[in-house]
Amino acid sequence: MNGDANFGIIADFLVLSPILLALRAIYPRAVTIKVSFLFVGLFAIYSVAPRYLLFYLTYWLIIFGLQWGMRFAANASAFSVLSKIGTAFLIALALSPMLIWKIWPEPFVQWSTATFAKLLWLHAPSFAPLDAIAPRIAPIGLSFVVFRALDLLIKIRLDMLKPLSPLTLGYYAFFAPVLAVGPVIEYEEIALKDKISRTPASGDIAVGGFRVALGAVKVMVVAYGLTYLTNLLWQGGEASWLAGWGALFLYGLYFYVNFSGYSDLAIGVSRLHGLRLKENFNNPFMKTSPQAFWASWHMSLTRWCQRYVFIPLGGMRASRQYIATFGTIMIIALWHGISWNMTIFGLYHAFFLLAHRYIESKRIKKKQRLSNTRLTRLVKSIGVFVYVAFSIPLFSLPIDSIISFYLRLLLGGGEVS
Amino acid sequence: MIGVDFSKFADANFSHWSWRRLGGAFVLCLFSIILIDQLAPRQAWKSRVGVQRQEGTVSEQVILRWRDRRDPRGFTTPEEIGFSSDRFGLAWLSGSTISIRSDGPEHNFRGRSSYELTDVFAAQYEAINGKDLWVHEYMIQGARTGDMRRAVLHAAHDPAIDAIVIALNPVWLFNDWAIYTKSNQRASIVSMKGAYLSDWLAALKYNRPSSLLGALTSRYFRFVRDRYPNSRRLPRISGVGFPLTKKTEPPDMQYVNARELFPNYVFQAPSSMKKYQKHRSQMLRQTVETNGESAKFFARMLRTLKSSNKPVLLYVAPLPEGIQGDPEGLEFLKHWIEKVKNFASIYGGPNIVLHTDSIYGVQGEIVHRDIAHLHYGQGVVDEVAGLLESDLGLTLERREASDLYGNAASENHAKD
Repeated sequence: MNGDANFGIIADFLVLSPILLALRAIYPRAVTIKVSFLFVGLFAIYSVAPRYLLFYLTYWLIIFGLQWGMRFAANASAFSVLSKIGTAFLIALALSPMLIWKIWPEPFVQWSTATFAKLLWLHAPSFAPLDAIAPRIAPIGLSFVVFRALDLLIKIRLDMLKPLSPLTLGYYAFFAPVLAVGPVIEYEEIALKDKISRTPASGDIAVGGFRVALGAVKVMVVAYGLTYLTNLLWQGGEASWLAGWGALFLYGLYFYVNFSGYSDLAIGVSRLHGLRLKENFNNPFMKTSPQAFWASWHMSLTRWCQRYVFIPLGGMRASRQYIATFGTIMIIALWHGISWNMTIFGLYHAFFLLAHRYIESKRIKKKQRLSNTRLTRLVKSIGVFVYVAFSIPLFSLPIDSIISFYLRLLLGGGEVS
Repeated sequence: MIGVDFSKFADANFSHWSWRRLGGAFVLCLFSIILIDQLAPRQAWKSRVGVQRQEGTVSEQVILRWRDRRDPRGFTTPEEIGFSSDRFGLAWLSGSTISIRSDGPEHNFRGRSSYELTDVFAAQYEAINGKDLWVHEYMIQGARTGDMRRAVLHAAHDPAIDAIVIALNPVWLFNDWAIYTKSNQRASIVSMKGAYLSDWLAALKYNRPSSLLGALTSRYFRFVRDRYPNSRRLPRISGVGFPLTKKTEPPDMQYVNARELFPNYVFQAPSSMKKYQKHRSQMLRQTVETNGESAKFFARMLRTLKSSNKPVLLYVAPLPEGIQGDPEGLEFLKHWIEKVKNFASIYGGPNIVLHTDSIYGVQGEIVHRDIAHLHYGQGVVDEVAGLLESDLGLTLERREASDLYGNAASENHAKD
């Protein structure tokens, strides 16, 4: 996915919002919002790469069926082993497109492009002209889509939700504000009562408008400025030791501002319609520990992993908390890509999270009190920022440059290959 | 340390806003935007027109009317080119069939191995109907019928243009799987003079809502209209970006093509057309039996040209001689030509001359690079000039020009 497509989907949704609001005013029922939002979501995918309309329709059709499989598994508690095996199978099935893509990205993109383009061009030729000028890319937002589908299925398995009707599932599946760059929303965040007000509350529109403006400024102004300054310091790799660190910190800020800006946009455009998505960032670089950082960075993903990885691994029990923390952070890392880079990223953060937990548990045992002055909080948050910023280049470094990059950063000077 | 998430701030300060306050804020924002847009210094950054062209024009009489394909503004305005009614404006609309890539020094034009037929024409003719000639080049790389539609609409309504020449591409004209080239300009059709309702409907189908809104509001807001050139003005650091240290080429964007999707559909070419197999298959895959999207574009092009009342020459870019040894290809072209003629008779008018014979070759010499591209195209220029005189009744004044081609030309031109 490129930046244009990410921003374009949100911009399209924003442009179409007056029409969506007008439809709601004319017929204030949940069905109006569901149908109109579904249409916009489908159009968003069509406008990026029409072939993936077929891909996602097929995927969500399978998820629609799996809902009933999960329902059946939930009711078959008498056969608990079978039920567990069945549940695991259905989850693996829902997870498989993302896994295959993460493990074999290039073949997956080639296969999905050729397969779905061919079907589309043959059976819906009027979609072909736009598809012919859409680059070969992975299905947009696949990681987000798969985790949203899993959330739904697991909640049905746990009897927290009933299987969704085709229309409601479509509304959830193609909810445009989160299609490209998340957050990983839960169905409950956008669930609607049958009768709704003719208009969203004026306060919701005001808050939504502010969040959209804030997101746009972050993505288009601040992130641009940070990229510029980063590269100005970096000098194409010729930066001094000090400037190299400066570039590292600015890059860390860029990463945060850009991502949280897109979250603001998604949350803001949803709020314009009275839909309150959960927050995805909560000033993570103001936090004073690795654990607090992860509880406020890409929070929708962290929440997901906490529910479905940390707790099942026994993270709430003292004896299992280390293994659960390790498992959770590795899943968070590998969700971004199954690669050596992300493995190192996961191990690095696991080390700090576990070390922090260990030190904290020792401190609590010894009943030591921590200094909590403004200054100590500032020092700690600077420490968290440095620790996180240090790992962010792993998202974009080629594997063969990792060692030389970090050696150069730590030791200074030298040619980096 | 640093935080830019203001969710609590937003809820605390905006969630209690009334409709009246919200309306007031909206009007204030809109007013501020309009005010800033109007008061901003009018030293608008001028995009170098036609930046797609690799080496610029050879002749000063060639005016590039097309812009970088990323620039959503579309074509250049008469004001930008310094429009003068004292000159005769001849628009030449085409895809890359007028782009020449020479195969050796003997086909270089004034020392250039890359040039356009518009350069050759402008070098050889200095006036039409007694007025100094300006050749307005609308050359869209990879142009498909949907792109040509925009060019036609623009040229037909441009006061600087007195006559129009259009090269029809025998490979793409009726190809419904490829009606646009990759560009950010598709949506601009909704802000162009003379666009039909059917153009709008096509625009709705093939553009993002945000692009359409951008195109519509670009008439009224300079910051919307000039968003591409302004974005290019922003300072950028060239070279390697953090954290990389080696220049890495951005991955070449790959696209889907029919040949790859449907290998069984590849039409086997006879020996005379073997080396054009790829494009020949594309050509034969056009929809001539029914009227698809591309045919609708073509019909609208003809309607616009008719209503412009400007003299128009439509010629078909010549295919290689090998087509004569290709019975299947010839049979297809028979239907293709019938369809073009049929459309011209239904939607065209007396001001439009259609010349389809050129599909089988032209009188003068040409050398093909592939099925529709040339290494040398003097023959096409001669053919077009002849038709402008004989069929459109224009009076062309030839320029004293010798040694245009080859090494000698290169040396003479350098001395000039």
